[in-house]
Amino acid sequence: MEEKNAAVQQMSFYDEKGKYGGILSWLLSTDHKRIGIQYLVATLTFFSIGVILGLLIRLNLLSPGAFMGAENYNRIFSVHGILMIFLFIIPGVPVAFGNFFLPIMIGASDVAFPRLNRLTWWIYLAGSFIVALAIFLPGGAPDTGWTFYAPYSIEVKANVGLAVLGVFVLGFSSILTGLNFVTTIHRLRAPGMTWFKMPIFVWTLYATGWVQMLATPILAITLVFIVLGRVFGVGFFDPSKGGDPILYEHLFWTYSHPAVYIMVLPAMGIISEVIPVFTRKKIFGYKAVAFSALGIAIVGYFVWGHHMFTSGMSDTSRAIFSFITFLVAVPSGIKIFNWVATMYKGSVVLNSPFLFAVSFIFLFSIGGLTGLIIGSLAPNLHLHGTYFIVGHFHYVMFGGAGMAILAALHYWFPKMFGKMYPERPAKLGWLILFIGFNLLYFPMFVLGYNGMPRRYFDYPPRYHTGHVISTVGSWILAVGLIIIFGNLIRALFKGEKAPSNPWGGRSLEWQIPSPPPTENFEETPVIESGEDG
Amino acid sequence: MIRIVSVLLFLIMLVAAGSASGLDKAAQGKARLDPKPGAFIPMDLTFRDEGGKEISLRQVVDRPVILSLVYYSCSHICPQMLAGLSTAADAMKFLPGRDYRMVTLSFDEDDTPSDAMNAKKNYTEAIQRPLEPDAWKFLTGDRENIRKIAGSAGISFEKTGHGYVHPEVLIFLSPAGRITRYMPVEKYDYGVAYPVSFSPVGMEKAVAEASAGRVSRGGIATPLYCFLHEPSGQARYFTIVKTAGLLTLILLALFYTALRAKEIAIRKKQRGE
Repeated sequence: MEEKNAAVQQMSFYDEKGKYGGILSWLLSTDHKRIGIQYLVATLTFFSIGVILGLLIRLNLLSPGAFMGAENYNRIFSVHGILMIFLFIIPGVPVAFGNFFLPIMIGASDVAFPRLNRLTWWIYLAGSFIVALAIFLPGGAPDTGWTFYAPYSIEVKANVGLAVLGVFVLGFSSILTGLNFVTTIHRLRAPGMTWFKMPIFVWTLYATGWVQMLATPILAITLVFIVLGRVFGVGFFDPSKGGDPILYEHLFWTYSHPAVYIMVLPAMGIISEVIPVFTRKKIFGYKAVAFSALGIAIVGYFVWGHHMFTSGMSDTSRAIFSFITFLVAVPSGIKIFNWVATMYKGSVVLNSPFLFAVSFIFLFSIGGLTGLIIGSLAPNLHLHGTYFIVGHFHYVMFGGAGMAILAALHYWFPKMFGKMYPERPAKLGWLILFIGFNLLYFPMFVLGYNGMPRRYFDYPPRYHTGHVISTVGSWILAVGLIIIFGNLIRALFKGEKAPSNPWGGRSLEWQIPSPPPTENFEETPVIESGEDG
Repeated sequence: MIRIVSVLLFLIMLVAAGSASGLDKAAQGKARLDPKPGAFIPMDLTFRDEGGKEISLRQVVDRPVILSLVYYSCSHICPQMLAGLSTAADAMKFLPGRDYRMVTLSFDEDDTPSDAMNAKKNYTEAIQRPLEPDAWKFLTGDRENIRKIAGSAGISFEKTGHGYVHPEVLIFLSPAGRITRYMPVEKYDYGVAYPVSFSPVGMEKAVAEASAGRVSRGGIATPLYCFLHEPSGQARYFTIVKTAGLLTLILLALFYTALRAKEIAIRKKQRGE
């Protein structure tokens, strides 16, 4: 508590007078906190657009053809996927919360390469701009789905080339962020902050950084091949020129499966931070949780084939990919059990960050377990082209990564903005979101099991009930989101001033004022006890 | 500057790889089927049977014959067609060896009688009915004779880097060596254990025609062609992908080593102070 009083004197990073004034003080700043906040604003903006597009998709499926034509539907679900995946959820946690909290959590004053960090933001913005061009320029938004499968993506008239270029540029932002974080964690830890005293969130960012560096170049080269195919007619994926469309799928998923872990690993890091604080306990099995993050990152490289069980692959490879898919469930299971064990006999405080974290565990478990169903060969053949996949995917992505981002927003909001938000609307918003979420996505499992194909614009009448429930769920979910974000935005302007440590957290970010001063720490902290001790 | 040049070189390499074509050449190439129903095949040509014995067509074509031209090292459609043939032979009311004979000839002059023997064992074992040894002959031959018989039946094939491009078709011969019917493979059922199948009823009819020497001229569908899915150019793409992947891995391994080395050095210094 004495630290808190001492800290109040310091000027927050919002009040810092830098070289530039006004908006430039943000756009040209190299302060990791300012960059983190800009990333947060950008990613949440794309998230809101993605949500609106998602609502439109559901609206069409309520009554196919009444609100839009089939071509527009294809474009809308493709752009929904591209925005949500490449602009929101892949960069999401690392660039927003990672940027803000990684240096603070290891006792550093900034990341290792602050200017490179700035550059990644500009690259991110450039990539987003190119994607926006692809959507609005004549020629039409991509209608390939977010996976850009060849040969369709090579032949179609829509602006696939631009969209692919945008995603390519975004990839560099991702690679450089990973490089920056890994270097920061190796080089800038405060004295006494040994590897096993680091918060779990930092461990997950470390694992994610490596995945970003190792996997994203594969996406880059794949997308270059697409562009070369469209512009120069190079036939990497064109059988008539010696190429192979299956090669595209292999390359794409060699990146995109590890990318699932880019999205989910840091989300798991957030949960590992929130649960101990709100149960007043240390995390159960620190080392197991830390190593399971690395385990997921490593094994996650070898499971991409399970996206292609029906694409044409030998039985041997299918059996091997299926087996490794089961292996990757082990480290995820370790994490789930450790979180639950952390809660055991804890003094649980049911605040909104904790509610979001617990719903992460619940929804991610459903997502993970249905993942095992489709990771097994025989059921996969039946379920692969159906809504079952859509349900699974959204339980993992939204129920997992999305819930974790909401947990992080509520957990770190006081620290990032120096304001408290009222608890009651946050909890109400959570409850409505949780109900809407399950109404929206759970029927998809049933629909898919009954054979409703995914990506389809229209369907036979027997699937109507499921789609109606799902669409109504999407409206409830939207109401929940509006309450949640309305509450936070209101708190931004009218909230009470936040204390430095409202939740009683033990990690370093709670030992400095809210919002933090520009240099984070008055003097470099020396760490004596940590997460493991 | 060096970087720009190397990027340009890489691009040129890609474009060069892309412009190399394998399959389109093959698919538009010489392989084709020009049906010649009613024509006679040269009965004096000699081939080697599975035992390596010289044998003339006249000796083999002494009753209705189902002739198929394949190559024994094929791993694509040929084995599927022969499997379809053995399934049909099981289901037909005519008994192979007694009522008609099956003759399979390799147009690959490098195939040996022992390759033919392996094929014979494989496909005759698939037939459940009792079979006399000469019911299904597997022949090999020299280049000239192969050309002659294929030419007389209107079959053109082409050798590519990975095997042959050729039409898959059954030819029915009358005991006098007259071509009475072509029965091309029209359909390949993906995902089925035996993707090529022949209707036993249609086969019976064709054997009956051949036996009577009645020629059926009309309604010959375009046959399936047997060719390799992976053309020669593909190896180059994989080389590019492999090289790029390996370089990335090496680079990242170096990066990690450098980070660790520096980190340990710094920690040592801190402890020393």
